[in-house]
Parts: sequence; C-alpha cells; structure tokens
Amino acid sequence: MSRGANGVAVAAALVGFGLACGGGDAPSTFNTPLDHGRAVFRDPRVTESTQNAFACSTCHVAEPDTADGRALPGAPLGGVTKRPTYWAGQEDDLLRSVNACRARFMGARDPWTRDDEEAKVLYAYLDSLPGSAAPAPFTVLQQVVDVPAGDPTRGAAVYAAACEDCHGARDAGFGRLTPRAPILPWQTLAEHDYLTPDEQRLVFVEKVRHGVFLGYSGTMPPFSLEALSDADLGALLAYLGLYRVAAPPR
Amino acid sequence: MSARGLARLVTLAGLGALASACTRDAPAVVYEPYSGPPVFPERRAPLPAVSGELGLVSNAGSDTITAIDVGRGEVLATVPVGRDPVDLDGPHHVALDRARGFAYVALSYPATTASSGPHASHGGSVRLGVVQKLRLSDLRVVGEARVDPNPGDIVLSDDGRRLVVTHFDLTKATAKDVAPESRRATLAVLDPEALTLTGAPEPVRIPVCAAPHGLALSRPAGDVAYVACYGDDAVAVVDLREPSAAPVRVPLGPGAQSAPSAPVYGPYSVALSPSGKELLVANLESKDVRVFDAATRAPTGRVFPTQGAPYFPVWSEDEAELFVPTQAPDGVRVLDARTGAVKRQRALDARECASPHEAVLAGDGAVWLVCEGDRKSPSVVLSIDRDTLATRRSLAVGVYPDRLIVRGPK
Repeated sequence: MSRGANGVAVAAALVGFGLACGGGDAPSTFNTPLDHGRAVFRDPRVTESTQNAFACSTCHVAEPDTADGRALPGAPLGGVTKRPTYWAGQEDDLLRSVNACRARFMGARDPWTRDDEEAKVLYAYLDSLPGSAAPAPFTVLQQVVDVPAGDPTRGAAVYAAACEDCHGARDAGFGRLTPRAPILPWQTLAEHDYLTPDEQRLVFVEKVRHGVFLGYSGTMPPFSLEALSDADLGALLAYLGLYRVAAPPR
Repeated sequence: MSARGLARLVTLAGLGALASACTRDAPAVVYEPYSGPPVFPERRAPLPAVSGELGLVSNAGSDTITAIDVGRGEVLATVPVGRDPVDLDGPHHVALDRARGFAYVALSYPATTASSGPHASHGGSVRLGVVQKLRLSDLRVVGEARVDPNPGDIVLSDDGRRLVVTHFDLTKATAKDVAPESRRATLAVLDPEALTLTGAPEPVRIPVCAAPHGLALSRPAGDVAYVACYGDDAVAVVDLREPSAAPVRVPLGPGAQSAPSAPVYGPYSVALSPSGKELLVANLESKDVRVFDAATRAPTGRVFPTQGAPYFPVWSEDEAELFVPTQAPDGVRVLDARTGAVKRQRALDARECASPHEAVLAGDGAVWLVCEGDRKSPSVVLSIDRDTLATRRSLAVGVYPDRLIVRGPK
C-alpha cells in the first residue's frame, strides 16, 4: 500500500469509528471478493497463530511502485499468478509457496487448500494485479561470509528501509512490529555473547541472509542478494556498530 | 527513529485512543463469497505418456526429480520436490510403482553445518527425514510421512505394499561412550497406501544396525529385508513379518568389527539376484563385492576385488555377470558372477561421468550409470552398451544424482 493509500485507509477507519460511535447499531458494509483478498493480504490473521504479527504485506508489495521506500525481502506480487516458478525455482505451485510463507513466517499449523475462502479471495486479488510474469530473482547465499564495512550514514537509511518496520528504532525498539523481533543490535549481541565480536557480526550476516532457514530459527524472512546488496548490508552493519570502529551516528 | 516510524506510532496511538473512547461495535464488514473460476490452478504439465520403460532420478543436490523415457533415451521433465523452499531437502533415492501410479522419495536433510554461520553451527540439530509420495502423472506430492534423520535407501516391495527406509545415521553410529545398541539406526516400514497430505500412521521402526544404508527386499512381498550395515561390517537380515524379532547380523568376513568409526569392510549396498537366491554386498572400505546365500545367510566364499570403491552394482538377468560401478578410480567393471573374473571394464573420465554411483540394467540392452558429478553442478546419467561399454547416450539431470529407478509398463 502506498503512503497515500495508507492515509485513505486510516481516514476510512477513523470515519468508521466515528459512525460507530455516533449512535445506533453498527451498519454492515458489503465488499467484493477482491476487497476481501486485499484485506487478507494485509491481515496477520491469515494464520491461526496468536503470536503472528506478519501479513503478506509485511514482506511483499502487491501493486507496482508501492514499496514506499522500504526494502522488502519478498518479491513484488503483481504478476505472481502468472509466474512459472517461485522461491528461486524450488516451487512451481503458488499455493504451496503461499503455504510455505504461512508455515515458516506466520506460524500456520495447517496449510490452506484451494477450497479455503481466504485462499480463494487472496488468489483473486493477486490475479487482478498487473506485473511481471517472469520468475522473481531470489538468490539466497548458502555460505555466510563477512562483508566489508560500509558508510554508517547510508546504513541508517538501510536500517529505516529494511529493518525498522519489524525491529523498531535502533537501540530502543520503539514501534517494532512484535516483541519477538529483537531490538537491534543489543539483544542479538546479548543472545550471542559467547562469540567474538567478529563472529557476532557474522551472526547478523547469517540472520539477514538466511532468515529462518539453513539452521537458524525464528520467523524472519531471508534477504536475498537482490533484496539487499552486500554493500547495503555492510553499511547496515556499520550503522549498527558491528565493526568496532568509531561510534556510529545516533 | 525514522519519520515513518514516528508517524506510525502516532497513528497507532490515535487509533488506540479512539478505540478506547468508543464503546460501540465497529461496523461489521461482510464480504461476498468468492464465485469465480478455480483458484491456484495446477499448471505443472503432466508427464508425457511412456509406452516402454520409465526412469526416475533423484537429484540430491538440487531438490529435483528427473523423469526419463528410457527406451527413447530422453529426459521428460525435471521437477522440484521437497518441502522446504530454501534449505536443501536432499531427495535421496526414489522408488517407483508404475502399476499404482506413484513414486516415493526420501528427503534426507543434510547437516546444517555445511552451509551455515556461527549461529546455526552451534546447534547441530539433525532434522527428521521425510518420505513423500508423488503422483506419477505429474510428480506432485500427494502424501508424506516423517521418518528418522538421514534416510539412506528407500525400496518398495515388488507387490507395492511395503515401503522400507534405512537411516544412514553416521552421527549416531559414531557416538562415543554409548552401548552398541545406541548406535543402531532403524528400518522404517511404511504402508504406502496410508501416506496422505493430512498425515500418516507412524512407521514401524526396527532397530537394525549402525549406519544401515543399502537395502534389498525379498520378492514379491518384501517379507525379508537385507541391509548393508556400514558401521557394523555386517549384513542384517530382518523378518518384516516379525518386526519385534531381533535382526540377524551376519559379519562380512574375518575381522569384521563393531567399530563404526573405522569399518574394515564398510558395506554400502546390497543387490538381490533376480532369482532371489543370492545377495551381492558392495563394500566401500575393503573395495570388493561379496556374495551371500540368501536362504542360509552364509557367505559363499566368492569375494571379488574391485580396485575402486564399489557403490550400487547390479546383477545381469541371467545372474552370470555383475556390473559394478566404482569410484577412485572411476569406472565400471563387468565381473563373472561365479569366478569374479573381469570380463570387461572401462575407466570413466570425469568429463563424461564423474563418480559413478549406481549401475542399472534397462530393457534396451544398455547399462545406465548414475554419475554423481562434482556434487555442485548438474550431472548426467550415462547409457552404455552392455558388451562394448561404449557410451550410447548422456542425459542431463540435476545436481548430485544418486538413484535411477527403472520400471517397465504396468
């Protein structure tokens, strides 16, 4: 959703509150399956897990040019229903791909079937979106290797674009999406205080590149090389003060 | 905090305040039910019909299965399998039931330390293996069951009613300061019909030996399992009709020991002769193949050196010859099954077939070799002439292929 669209949604919600508070029984509004699909796309209740804070929109944009300056780990979903493969060719079934997200990141216990209403409307919504039918590039680095330090100022922008929505403000965590997302960098450092500083930095590289996969755990999605370059990662790590250099800007 | 983060906090706070102040229900949102065309259409093309022999190759390093029209020497399709969209699922060996229209693949997840950083490597967890049931028409998953870590071999009985999996668990086999029985991994015995997408009964687990790998089943019902016990230097004979009975472990030869970290023979695979009377055991460490009497479980005394390490050999239909793929040096040897005399042999160049893993006979008069390759890039299966051992065809498959199963029409 674009920032403008976000504003419309917030305004609509406020109007809704106003109507509801204004008197009388709350009216019902009837919406199309496409509206429903759009709502499902943005709703963390796509799983039964009460711990889940992620919606599809946490990691993906649906409509072109709606990234709103964010660097998201998931591919844009416009055109997704026409793509031949997903997850770098590891899947050729969109429903299985969606269920992989629901299970890995959102704590879903049971996969959706083609008969589930939420699956139906989400598909209808995604199918209505314009976009590329080409498989989205998604290169996950298997081997964890260190990256050179980048510019901390650039790193601050990377943090705001890629990390802050989930982890909140650096050092304090204000506004983080869920308490399960560690406050960066200190909570992650504290969880790995048995490692050397260089190894701790590699933990950050590992978590960013592998997410929940490849022997790590949790619910974080991986940032592919296409989603976050090594240069940006080096800048981010410098901003987080992980190179034992002069204190990064606060 | 960025300006966007601050704005979000303010917005959330405002909405929260409104919600607190308002005691009435928000408007109910009602959606019209979906009534459009079917969603998430299955777009994978069905496999082309094969009138002759069909082959399936498991590609452990690329999470794919390659289907082959053996008679025409053509690849039909290479399709992804597995459950995990990022981690390697390691499809390790595949079984095929053409009569019922299913295939079964064992997912043997590799150790995480191979590809991880400092966080993952300290855990060293070992993931359970999984058996997936695939619909043969398009190789889609239609059922699955969990088995133990490190599935080694998966074999279906000829009657299609018993599916058996070994677990080549070297971590368990080499554990220090534990009793021998604690080193033993299991055979998992599954009912193929019971595998569904919503679950499957727990398999029957039979502790069998240390690091069991290659497996053969008696015909046609698979009542008896013969297992190559790499870590015990033995062949285990298991009566699957009596799963609670202790397996019989037959030592490979003199000096066979239960020292899993240093097996003397290192049996890796077994091949039952077409008549079911004899069992061929291929040994990686002693670099030989040995023939056992299947009924008496006694060694026949026929021990044939192979120079290189023999992986998965095969009997000729008339039981007169043995086709043995070897590694280091890479090659294939055709042995007289009675005397062990080398009747024909061919060295294999790594550019044509690196690390031959398995030999398979096909009805077209060819021997097919599964070539592991460098385990990092796509490899091949190679069709060679039985008599001249000259290459007939080379078919591109996935990374680290480790099994070719060939079955004729129903």
